Amino acid sequence: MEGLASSLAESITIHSDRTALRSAEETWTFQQLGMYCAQTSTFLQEQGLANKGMLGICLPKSTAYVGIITSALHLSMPYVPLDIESPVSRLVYIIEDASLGMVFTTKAQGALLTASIPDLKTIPFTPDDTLVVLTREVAAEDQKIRPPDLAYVLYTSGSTGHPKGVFITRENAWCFVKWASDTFPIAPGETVASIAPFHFDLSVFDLFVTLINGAELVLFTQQECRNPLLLAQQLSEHRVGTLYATPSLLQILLRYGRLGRYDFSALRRVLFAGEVFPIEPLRQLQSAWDQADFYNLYGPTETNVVTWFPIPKPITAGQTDPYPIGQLCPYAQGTIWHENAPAKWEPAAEGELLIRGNSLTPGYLGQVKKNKLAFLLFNNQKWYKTGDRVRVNDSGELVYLGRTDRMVKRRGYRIELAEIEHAFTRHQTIIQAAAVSRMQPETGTEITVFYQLSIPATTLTTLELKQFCTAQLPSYMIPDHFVVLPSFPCTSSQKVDYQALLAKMEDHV
Amino acid sequence: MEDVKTTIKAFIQETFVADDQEQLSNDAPLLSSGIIDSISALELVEFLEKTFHFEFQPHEVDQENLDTITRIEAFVKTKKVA
Repeated sequence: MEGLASSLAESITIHSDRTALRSAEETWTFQQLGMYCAQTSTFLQEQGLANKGMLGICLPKSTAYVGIITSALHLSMPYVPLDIESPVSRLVYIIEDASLGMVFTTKAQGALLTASIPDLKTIPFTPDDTLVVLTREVAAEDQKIRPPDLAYVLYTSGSTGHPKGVFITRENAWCFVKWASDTFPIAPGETVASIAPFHFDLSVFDLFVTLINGAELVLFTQQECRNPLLLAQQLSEHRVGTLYATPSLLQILLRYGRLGRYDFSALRRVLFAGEVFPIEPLRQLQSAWDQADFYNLYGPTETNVVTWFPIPKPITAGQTDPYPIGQLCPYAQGTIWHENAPAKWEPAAEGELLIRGNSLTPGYLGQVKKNKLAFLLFNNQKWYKTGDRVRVNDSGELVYLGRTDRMVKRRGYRIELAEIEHAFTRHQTIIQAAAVSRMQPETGTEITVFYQLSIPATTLTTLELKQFCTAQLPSYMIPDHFVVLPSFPCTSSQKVDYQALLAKMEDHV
Repeated sequence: MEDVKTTIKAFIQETFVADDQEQLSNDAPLLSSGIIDSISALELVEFLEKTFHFEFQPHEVDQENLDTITRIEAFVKTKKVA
């Protein structure tokens, strides 16, 4: 069968006795997932909520969360996962922005939300009242226009200002899930870790590729993911075979997870995406999990994964630069946009990556202006401007260079901040680096580099750092300030938090 | 055992609080207030293990045991007795 909802329904029928979900609290078979889905669907119909707009979900990751998602798909209701850990004001903004008429949440979180949005009514969902549904009437004229085959909306933080909702249609999601299922086959009964929170698009792989294949998904809450000692132990105990996470999270696991204590012989596949994985920690992780194959996946929320690259095993000694983001997925087309024109796709071509294809979002919820700016019409086709600068290497693969908006000018030179970061991670003891810049009225662009060392509580002198930089970078790229950090701040989607680093820069220099 | 508290306090003050800021009280929430972020908490765990010669079990790396200097001290003492 084709399609997300029907494949999931079919899997629930075929694999009814197998374990579908496991959390610290509960274990569900596919049959139990199917029953929860049916009960939720009946509840929505009885309450007159079925097909009444979109369904918001603001819960900690749990079996019930997956059950509600399954029900939303079953009823063809678009769902909006909300980050329960984000501030109430942000949740309120999203509920208003998306004109949500119903939100599944916990009793405690429901009380916080109703205090801010007084017209929300609370309906008990579970008999014991631990889960509730907040509902309100949304007038027809306040409903946001949305694509007819919408599957879900993922809110991403705009680099400035308010979060924006990215529409993902059933076809968008399905083409990725189908490709990922074929490329990374997962057999019934295998175990996959769900590390990314459900409001983050990495979770689309975990949820759907796992469940449509009759495999078992082990759910880790955000709280559990912040404890790498626990996460490492649990990955081993549940004999996880596949996991998909950000390089930030994997590096925390490597640094603090005491991986050497546990048996990871079941782990055969590690996917990572969302940011660049510096080579040294990647090499260390590969040797800690030496039976696993590693893959670098790339793609913004707006397109989901559109390129992929298998990491060589083992990583050669001479490798110091991060690996390419690789080749395009079969459902994606790419163009390299250079100085307002497409560049010929050949080695050394360089520019901003444009993407189109079946995985591309139809646009942002209620953002007419953003919809105009984010896309580009070329060859009578609509292309998404990724904001990522890439180069084609000699093998025809794409190499990630950095964000177009992280290109700064200094003394007339164009500087890619990511290039400074790459140079730092070539240093033997530096395991992570992030460069930020600001404009100073007197001196112009000022660059600060934050770095983390493999041996905690040590530091490098400014002289040592400057000497190292001189050997690696042209003089105009040498940073003004160096700040050692015991660890890097992370966003809720488990990536390096550049906004927090900008704030830190104000404190430090 | 007052020195356990002093050692913990000195480490936290020195590592996670800027020099010119006020002294931490023993019952000031550290994790739930954001004075110590989740990764700094792991640094604290390593410090406690090294200084007091015991090991955290994975589930013990928890707000319950780490949120205030008083709680940390109490936890270290149970581990040292055990």
